[in-house]
Amino acid sequence: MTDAALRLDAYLEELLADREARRPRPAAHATPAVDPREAVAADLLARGLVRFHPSFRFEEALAARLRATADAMRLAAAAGGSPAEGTLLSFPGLSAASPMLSRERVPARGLLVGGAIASGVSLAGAAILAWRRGHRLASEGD
Amino acid sequence: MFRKAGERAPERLVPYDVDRPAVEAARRDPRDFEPLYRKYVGQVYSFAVYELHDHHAAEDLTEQVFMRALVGLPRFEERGTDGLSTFRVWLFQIARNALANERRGRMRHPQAPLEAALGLPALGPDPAAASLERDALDRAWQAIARLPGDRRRALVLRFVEEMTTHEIAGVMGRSEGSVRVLIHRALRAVADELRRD
Repeated sequence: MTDAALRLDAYLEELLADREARRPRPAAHATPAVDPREAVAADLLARGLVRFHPSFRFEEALAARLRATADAMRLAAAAGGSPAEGTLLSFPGLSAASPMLSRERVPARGLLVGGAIASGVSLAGAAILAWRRGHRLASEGD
Repeated sequence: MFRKAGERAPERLVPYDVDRPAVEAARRDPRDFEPLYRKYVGQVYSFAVYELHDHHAAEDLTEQVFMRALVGLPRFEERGTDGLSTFRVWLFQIARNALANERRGRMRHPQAPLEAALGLPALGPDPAAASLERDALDRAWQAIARLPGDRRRALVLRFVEEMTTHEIAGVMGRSEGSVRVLIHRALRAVADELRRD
Protein backbone atom coordinates (compact mmCIF):
# COMPACT_ATOMS: atom_id res chain seq x y z
CA MET A 1 0.00 0.00 0.00
CA THR A 2 2.76 2.42 0.97
CA ASP A 3 4.81 1.73 -2.16
CA ALA A 4 1.76 2.12 -4.36
CA ALA A 5 0.86 5.34 -2.54
CA LEU A 6 4.39 6.65 -3.06
CA ARG A 7 4.32 5.85 -6.78
CA LEU A 8 0.93 7.47 -7.11
CA ASP A 9 2.23 10.55 -5.30
CA ALA A 10 5.08 10.84 -7.80
CA TYR A 11 2.61 10.40 -10.65
CA LEU A 12 0.36 13.15 -9.29
CA GLU A 13 3.34 15.44 -8.89
CA GLU A 14 4.10 15.08 -12.61
CA LEU A 15 0.47 15.27 -13.63
CA LEU A 16 -0.17 18.51 -11.75
CA ALA A 17 3.11 20.04 -12.88
CA ASP A 18 2.19 19.28 -16.50
CA ARG A 19 -1.25 20.78 -16.01
CA GLU A 20 0.28 23.90 -14.52
CA ALA A 21 2.70 24.19 -17.45
CA ARG A 22 -0.02 23.20 -19.97
CA ARG A 23 2.22 20.45 -21.30
CA PRO A 24 0.59 17.65 -23.32
CA ARG A 25 0.55 14.30 -21.54
CA PRO A 26 0.69 10.73 -22.73
CA ALA A 27 -2.42 8.61 -22.18
CA ALA A 28 -2.81 7.63 -18.55
CA HIS A 29 -2.61 3.88 -19.23
CA ALA A 30 0.83 4.33 -20.77
CA THR A 31 2.27 4.88 -17.31
CA PRO A 32 3.46 1.58 -15.89
CA ALA A 33 4.28 2.80 -12.39
CA VAL A 34 0.71 3.19 -11.19
CA ASP A 35 -2.51 1.25 -11.54
CA PRO A 36 -3.95 2.35 -14.91
CA ARG A 37 -7.45 2.78 -13.43
CA GLU A 38 -6.09 5.11 -10.77
CA ALA A 39 -4.14 7.02 -13.39
CA VAL A 40 -7.31 7.47 -15.47
CA ALA A 41 -9.19 8.70 -12.38
CA ALA A 42 -6.36 11.07 -11.52
CA ASP A 43 -6.32 12.50 -15.04
CA LEU A 44 -10.07 13.00 -14.94
CA LEU A 45 -9.93 14.80 -11.59
CA ALA A 46 -7.02 16.96 -12.75
CA ARG A 47 -9.25 18.19 -15.58
CA GLY A 48 -12.56 18.26 -13.73
CA LEU A 49 -11.83 19.53 -10.22
CA VAL A 50 -11.69 23.24 -10.85
CA ARG A 51 -10.97 26.09 -8.50
CA PHE A 52 -13.85 28.42 -7.72
CA HIS A 53 -13.44 32.12 -7.25
CA PRO A 54 -15.65 34.36 -5.14
CA SER A 55 -17.66 37.09 -6.80
CA PHE A 56 -15.97 40.41 -7.38
CA ARG A 57 -18.57 42.03 -5.15
CA PHE A 58 -17.78 39.74 -2.23
CA GLU A 59 -14.03 40.00 -2.70
CA GLU A 60 -14.10 43.80 -2.68
CA ALA A 61 -16.48 44.02 0.29
CA LEU A 62 -14.27 41.75 2.36
CA ALA A 63 -11.16 43.66 1.25
CA ALA A 64 -12.83 46.84 2.55
CA ARG A 65 -13.65 45.21 5.89
CA LEU A 66 -10.09 43.95 6.24
CA ARG A 67 -8.73 47.41 5.43
CA ALA A 68 -10.98 48.96 8.08
CA THR A 69 -9.83 46.40 10.62
CA ALA A 70 -6.19 46.96 9.68
CA ASP A 71 -6.63 50.72 10.03
CA ALA A 72 -8.15 50.29 13.46
CA MET A 73 -5.36 47.94 14.53
CA ARG A 74 -2.79 50.45 13.40
CA LEU A 75 -4.53 53.28 15.21
CA ALA A 76 -4.77 51.18 18.34
CA ALA A 77 -1.04 50.54 18.24
CA ALA A 78 -0.22 54.18 17.54
CA ALA A 79 -2.59 55.49 20.19
CA GLY A 80 -1.39 53.62 22.58
CA GLY A 81 0.80 52.96 24.19
CA SER A 82 0.56 49.77 25.87
CA PRO A 83 -2.18 47.61 24.50
CA ALA A 84 -2.25 46.09 27.96
CA GLU A 85 -4.25 49.03 29.19
CA GLY A 86 -7.24 47.36 27.62
CA THR A 87 -9.17 50.53 26.84
CA LEU A 88 -11.77 50.28 24.14
CA LEU A 89 -11.10 52.39 21.11
CA SER A 90 -13.61 54.04 18.92
CA PHE A 91 -13.95 52.32 15.63
CA PRO A 92 -13.16 54.82 12.91
CA GLY A 93 -15.05 54.48 9.69
CA LEU A 94 -17.22 51.63 10.80
CA SER A 95 -20.39 53.32 11.92
CA ALA A 96 -23.63 51.75 10.85
CA ALA A 97 -23.98 54.58 8.36
CA SER A 98 -20.64 53.85 6.76
CA PRO A 99 -21.01 53.38 3.03
CA MET A 100 -18.57 50.54 3.32
CA LEU A 101 -21.15 48.57 5.23
CA SER A 102 -24.17 49.67 3.30
CA ARG A 103 -26.49 47.04 1.92
CA GLU A 104 -25.51 48.29 -1.50
CA ARG A 105 -22.04 46.81 -1.04
CA VAL A 106 -22.85 43.90 1.19
CA PRO A 107 -25.94 42.02 0.08
CA ALA A 108 -28.08 40.90 2.98
CA ARG A 109 -28.44 37.15 3.19
CA GLY A 110 -29.67 34.70 5.75
CA LEU A 111 -26.35 33.57 7.02
CA LEU A 112 -24.84 32.62 10.30
CA VAL A 113 -24.88 35.22 13.04
CA GLY A 114 -27.28 37.81 11.83
CA GLY A 115 -26.05 38.24 8.29
CA ALA A 116 -23.06 39.84 6.73
CA ILE A 117 -23.47 43.32 8.21
CA ALA A 118 -23.73 42.19 11.78
CA SER A 119 -20.96 39.69 11.33
CA GLY A 120 -18.75 42.28 9.66
CA VAL A 121 -19.01 44.65 12.58
CA SER A 122 -18.76 42.02 15.27
CA LEU A 123 -15.87 40.30 13.55
CA ALA A 124 -14.05 43.58 13.19
CA GLY A 125 -14.66 44.43 16.86
CA ALA A 126 -13.56 41.00 17.99
CA ALA A 127 -10.60 41.34 15.68
CA ILE A 128 -9.37 44.47 17.44
CA LEU A 129 -9.65 42.91 20.88
CA ALA A 130 -7.95 39.72 19.74
CA TRP A 131 -5.21 41.61 18.00
CA ARG A 132 -4.54 43.79 21.06
CA ARG A 133 -4.31 40.68 23.19
CA GLY A 134 -2.06 38.92 20.68
CA HIS A 135 0.09 41.97 20.32
CA ARG A 136 0.55 42.13 24.08
CA LEU A 137 1.46 38.44 24.25
CA ALA A 138 3.90 38.88 21.38
CA SER A 139 5.50 41.86 23.13
CA GLU A 140 5.83 39.91 26.35
CA GLY A 141 7.49 37.10 24.41
CA ASP A 142 10.18 39.41 22.96
CA MET B 1 20.14 13.69 22.25
CA PHE B 2 22.28 15.37 24.92
CA ARG B 3 24.64 18.21 24.17
CA LYS B 4 27.90 18.89 25.95
CA ALA B 5 28.14 22.05 27.99
CA GLY B 6 28.78 25.03 25.76
CA GLU B 7 27.80 23.20 22.63
CA ARG B 8 25.39 25.18 20.49
CA ALA B 9 22.03 23.81 19.57
CA PRO B 10 21.87 22.87 15.88
CA GLU B 11 20.18 25.53 13.85
CA ARG B 12 16.70 24.64 12.73
CA LEU B 13 16.08 24.22 9.04
CA VAL B 14 13.28 26.54 8.03
CA PRO B 15 11.90 26.02 4.54
CA TYR B 16 11.77 29.20 2.53
CA ASP B 17 8.28 30.60 2.49
CA VAL B 18 7.63 32.56 -0.69
CA ASP B 19 5.24 34.73 1.30
CA ARG B 20 7.81 35.74 3.91
CA PRO B 21 8.39 39.28 2.61
CA ALA B 22 4.65 39.93 2.40
CA VAL B 23 4.10 38.47 5.86
CA GLU B 24 6.83 40.63 7.34
CA ALA B 25 5.39 43.72 5.67
CA ALA B 26 1.93 42.92 7.06
CA ARG B 27 3.38 42.44 10.52
CA ARG B 28 4.95 45.88 10.36
CA ASP B 29 1.76 47.46 9.09
CA PRO B 30 -1.53 45.51 9.09
CA ARG B 31 -2.67 47.52 6.08
CA ASP B 32 -0.14 45.58 4.03
CA PHE B 33 -2.10 42.40 4.62
CA GLU B 34 -4.07 43.01 1.43
CA PRO B 35 -1.63 41.39 -1.06
CA LEU B 36 -1.78 38.18 0.99
CA TYR B 37 -5.56 38.38 1.00
CA ARG B 38 -5.69 38.91 -2.78
CA LYS B 39 -3.32 36.03 -3.38
CA TYR B 40 -5.20 33.49 -1.29
CA VAL B 41 -8.84 34.53 -1.26
CA GLY B 42 -9.66 32.30 -4.23
CA GLN B 43 -7.93 29.29 -2.72
CA VAL B 44 -9.59 29.61 0.67
CA TYR B 45 -12.98 30.26 -0.89
CA SER B 46 -12.63 27.30 -3.23
CA PHE B 47 -11.65 25.00 -0.37
CA ALA B 48 -14.71 26.21 1.56
CA VAL B 49 -17.02 25.61 -1.41
CA TYR B 50 -15.84 22.04 -1.80
CA GLU B 51 -16.33 21.43 1.91
CA LEU B 52 -19.62 23.23 2.48
CA HIS B 53 -21.33 22.81 -0.92
CA ASP B 54 -22.78 26.29 -0.57
CA HIS B 55 -21.41 29.51 -2.00
CA HIS B 56 -22.88 31.77 0.69
CA ALA B 57 -21.59 29.63 3.53
CA ALA B 58 -18.23 29.55 1.75
CA GLU B 59 -18.16 33.35 1.66
CA ASP B 60 -18.88 33.49 5.36
CA LEU B 61 -16.12 31.02 6.14
CA THR B 62 -13.69 32.90 3.91
CA GLU B 63 -14.42 36.09 5.85
CA GLN B 64 -13.80 34.37 9.18
CA VAL B 65 -10.52 32.91 7.96
CA PHE B 66 -9.06 36.19 6.74
CA MET B 67 -10.21 38.16 9.77
CA ARG B 68 -8.58 35.58 12.04
CA ALA B 69 -5.45 35.56 9.93
CA LEU B 70 -5.17 39.35 10.01
CA VAL B 71 -5.45 39.61 13.78
CA GLY B 72 -3.45 36.43 14.41
CA LEU B 73 -0.52 37.36 12.20
CA PRO B 74 1.69 38.50 15.11
CA ARG B 75 1.45 34.97 16.51
CA PHE B 76 2.25 33.20 13.24
CA GLU B 77 5.72 31.77 12.99
CA GLU B 78 7.35 29.70 10.34
CA ARG B 79 8.50 26.45 11.78
CA GLY B 80 11.31 24.21 10.74
CA THR B 81 11.59 20.52 10.10
CA ASP B 82 10.00 19.69 13.43
CA GLY B 83 6.72 21.13 12.22
CA LEU B 84 6.36 22.76 8.84
CA SER B 85 4.40 25.90 8.58
CA THR B 86 4.38 28.40 5.81
CA PHE B 87 1.84 31.20 5.64
CA ARG B 88 -0.30 29.20 3.23
CA VAL B 89 -0.28 26.12 5.45
CA TRP B 90 -1.12 28.27 8.47
CA LEU B 91 -3.98 29.92 6.58
CA PHE B 92 -5.46 26.56 5.65
CA GLN B 93 -5.08 25.37 9.24
CA ILE B 94 -7.25 28.33 10.24
CA ALA B 95 -9.70 27.34 7.50
CA ARG B 96 -9.78 23.76 8.71
CA ASN B 97 -10.51 24.88 12.29
CA ALA B 98 -13.16 27.36 11.16
CA LEU B 99 -14.70 24.62 9.08
CA ALA B 100 -14.89 22.27 12.06
CA ASN B 101 -16.79 24.97 13.99
CA GLU B 102 -18.99 25.71 11.02
CA ARG B 103 -19.81 22.05 10.55
CA ARG B 104 -20.87 21.68 14.16
CA GLY B 105 -23.36 24.49 13.55
CA ARG B 106 -24.66 22.90 10.34
CA MET B 107 -25.24 19.39 11.65
CA ARG B 108 -28.96 19.94 11.65
CA HIS B 109 -29.13 21.10 8.07
CA PRO B 110 -29.02 18.81 5.05
CA GLN B 111 -26.23 19.59 2.61
CA ALA B 112 -26.79 19.95 -1.10
CA PRO B 113 -25.20 17.26 -3.23
CA LEU B 114 -21.73 18.37 -4.20
CA GLU B 115 -22.20 18.17 -7.96
CA ALA B 116 -25.53 20.02 -7.83
CA ALA B 117 -24.22 22.69 -5.50
CA LEU B 118 -21.15 23.46 -7.52
CA GLY B 119 -22.24 22.97 -11.08
CA LEU B 120 -19.95 21.06 -13.37
CA PRO B 121 -17.27 22.75 -15.41
CA ALA B 122 -17.35 22.82 -19.19
CA LEU B 123 -15.15 20.13 -20.65
CA GLY B 124 -13.52 20.16 -24.05
CA PRO B 125 -14.72 21.35 -27.47
CA ASP B 126 -15.92 17.97 -28.81
CA PRO B 127 -19.56 17.48 -27.69
CA ALA B 128 -19.48 13.67 -27.82
CA ALA B 129 -16.23 13.42 -25.88
CA ALA B 130 -17.42 16.11 -23.50
CA SER B 131 -20.61 14.17 -22.86
CA LEU B 132 -18.66 11.01 -22.03
CA GLU B 133 -16.33 12.94 -19.81
CA ARG B 134 -19.26 14.68 -18.15
CA ASP B 135 -20.75 11.30 -17.33
CA ALA B 136 -17.44 10.07 -15.93
CA LEU B 137 -17.07 13.23 -13.89
CA ASP B 138 -20.61 12.83 -12.57
CA ARG B 139 -19.71 9.44 -11.24
CA ALA B 140 -16.43 10.74 -9.87
CA TRP B 141 -18.39 13.42 -7.98
CA GLN B 142 -20.63 10.76 -6.50
CA ALA B 143 -17.63 8.80 -5.33
CA ILE B 144 -15.99 11.91 -3.88
CA ALA B 145 -19.19 12.85 -2.03
CA ARG B 146 -19.22 9.42 -0.36
CA LEU B 147 -15.60 9.63 0.79
CA PRO B 148 -14.82 10.12 4.47
CA GLY B 149 -14.05 13.79 5.17
CA ASP B 150 -10.31 13.43 5.57
CA ARG B 151 -9.89 11.58 2.27
CA ARG B 152 -12.05 14.08 0.41
CA ARG B 153 -10.18 16.99 1.98
CA ALA B 154 -6.79 15.53 1.06
CA LEU B 155 -7.97 15.01 -2.52
CA VAL B 156 -9.24 18.58 -2.83
CA LEU B 157 -6.06 20.04 -1.35
CA ARG B 158 -4.01 17.97 -3.81
CA PHE B 159 -6.00 18.52 -7.00
CA VAL B 160 -7.65 21.89 -6.49
CA GLU B 161 -5.18 23.74 -4.31
CA GLU B 162 -2.24 21.89 -5.85
CA MET B 163 -0.57 21.45 -2.50
CA THR B 164 2.31 19.06 -2.06
CA THR B 165 1.93 16.09 0.24
CA HIS B 166 4.21 17.96 2.64
CA GLU B 167 1.86 20.94 2.76
CA ILE B 168 -1.26 18.82 3.11
CA ALA B 169 0.37 17.02 6.03
CA GLY B 170 0.93 20.42 7.67
CA VAL B 171 -2.66 21.51 7.11
CA MET B 172 -4.21 18.26 8.30
CA GLY B 173 -1.81 17.61 11.17
CA ARG B 174 -0.81 14.21 9.80
CA SER B 175 2.34 12.54 8.57
CA GLU B 176 3.19 12.68 4.89
CA GLY B 177 2.88 8.91 4.68
CA SER B 178 -0.66 8.93 5.98
CA VAL B 179 -1.61 11.73 3.56
CA ARG B 180 -0.29 9.65 0.64
CA VAL B 181 -2.36 6.71 1.81
CA LEU B 182 -5.47 8.91 2.17
CA ILE B 183 -5.08 10.18 -1.37
CA HIS B 184 -4.38 6.72 -2.73
CA ARG B 185 -7.50 5.29 -1.10
CA ALA B 186 -9.59 8.23 -2.26
CA LEU B 187 -8.43 7.85 -5.82
CA ARG B 188 -8.99 4.12 -5.76
CA ALA B 189 -12.57 4.73 -4.65
CA VAL B 190 -13.06 7.10 -7.58
CA ALA B 191 -11.47 4.57 -9.95
CA ASP B 192 -13.80 1.83 -8.66
CA GLU B 193 -16.80 4.06 -9.27
CA LEU B 194 -15.64 4.81 -12.82
CA ARG B 195 -15.22 1.13 -13.58
CA ARG B 196 -18.77 0.34 -12.49
CA ASP B 197 -21.20 0.07 -15.42
